[in-house]
Amino acid sequence: MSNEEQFDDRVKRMFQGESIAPPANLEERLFAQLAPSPWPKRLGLSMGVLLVCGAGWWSALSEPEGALNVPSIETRSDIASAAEIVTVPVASDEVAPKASLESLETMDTSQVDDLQVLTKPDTEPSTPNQQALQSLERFPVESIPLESLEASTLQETNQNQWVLPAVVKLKN
Amino acid sequence: MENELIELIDACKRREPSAQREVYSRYSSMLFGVAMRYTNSRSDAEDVLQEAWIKVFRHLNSFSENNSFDGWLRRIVVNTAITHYRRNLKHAHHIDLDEVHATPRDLEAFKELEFTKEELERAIGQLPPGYGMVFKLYVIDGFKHKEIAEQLGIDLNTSKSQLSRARRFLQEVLAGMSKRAKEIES
Repeated sequence: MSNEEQFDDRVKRMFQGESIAPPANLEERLFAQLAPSPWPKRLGLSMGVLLVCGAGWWSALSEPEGALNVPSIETRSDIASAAEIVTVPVASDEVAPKASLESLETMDTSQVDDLQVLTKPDTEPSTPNQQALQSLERFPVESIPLESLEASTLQETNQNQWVLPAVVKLKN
Repeated sequence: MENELIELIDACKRREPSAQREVYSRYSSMLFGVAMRYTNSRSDAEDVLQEAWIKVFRHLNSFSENNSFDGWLRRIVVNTAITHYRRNLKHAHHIDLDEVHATPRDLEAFKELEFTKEELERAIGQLPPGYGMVFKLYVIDGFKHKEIAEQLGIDLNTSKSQLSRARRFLQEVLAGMSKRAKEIES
């Protein structure tokens, strides 16, 4: 046996039968990893993935191209209905005619823009009441004497403008 | 191979948890020792051992009962440790040992050298990582140079020369330790 072989043999014998106990938690970690997940869990996961993919696919198909670019009648009516709630607080003892969709349809674009300002969520730093006041001031509305008012009738002030007879009471 | 072990392995192939736990408890201490040898820390050794056991249980069908089960398990742990080593290799500095030619007189002197396993482990720990891997694979775990070259992605001659230099380095380090121990005693 050469010197090298003797050395190798001596080293090898020193490591023969070497054993070190692994940490106790390793066994639990290993078998937790090896254990197959129960089938309802796997099935539920697969169904969930399919559902999400299907919903994404469906919404991608159903959304027409450029739908967000051109404001449709529906969007304008949405704005209008939201605006009704915010901008016309009416006292309970007053006659409060309902704002019809037609009145808002006749507004010019700048007025619709003003309404959009009013319908923004509460992200603005100022209070909603202050915003409503500022925006209402921009509307070219002439006041009408209360006596001549017929409830739920639109009043035409000139050829292009129609107004709702309403008494606006502002708090604060 | 004993019948009892064959039955146990068959039960593991059927993925019976009690059999898997039995095999784990029989061999994990021996395999953890192997993993510790090829890694730098206990936590790395734990990672290697866990990964190796997963491979064992998932590929048990490829084990042939004509072979040694211990040997098969050890191979899987060593191969997993090599993969771990190669993954971390890009972060390590490559250090070479100088070419040293041992004289016959040096090797004769080494024969009488006394050293413990702890001293040997400390000396192996001082080897550059690549040299240490080659030495342990060849001397302790009985790999051939061809296998080492393939596993580590090095040239066959590199494996041979690194082994030779590693041996010489270890002999020198161990001789130094022995000399210091004698000086302290006297």
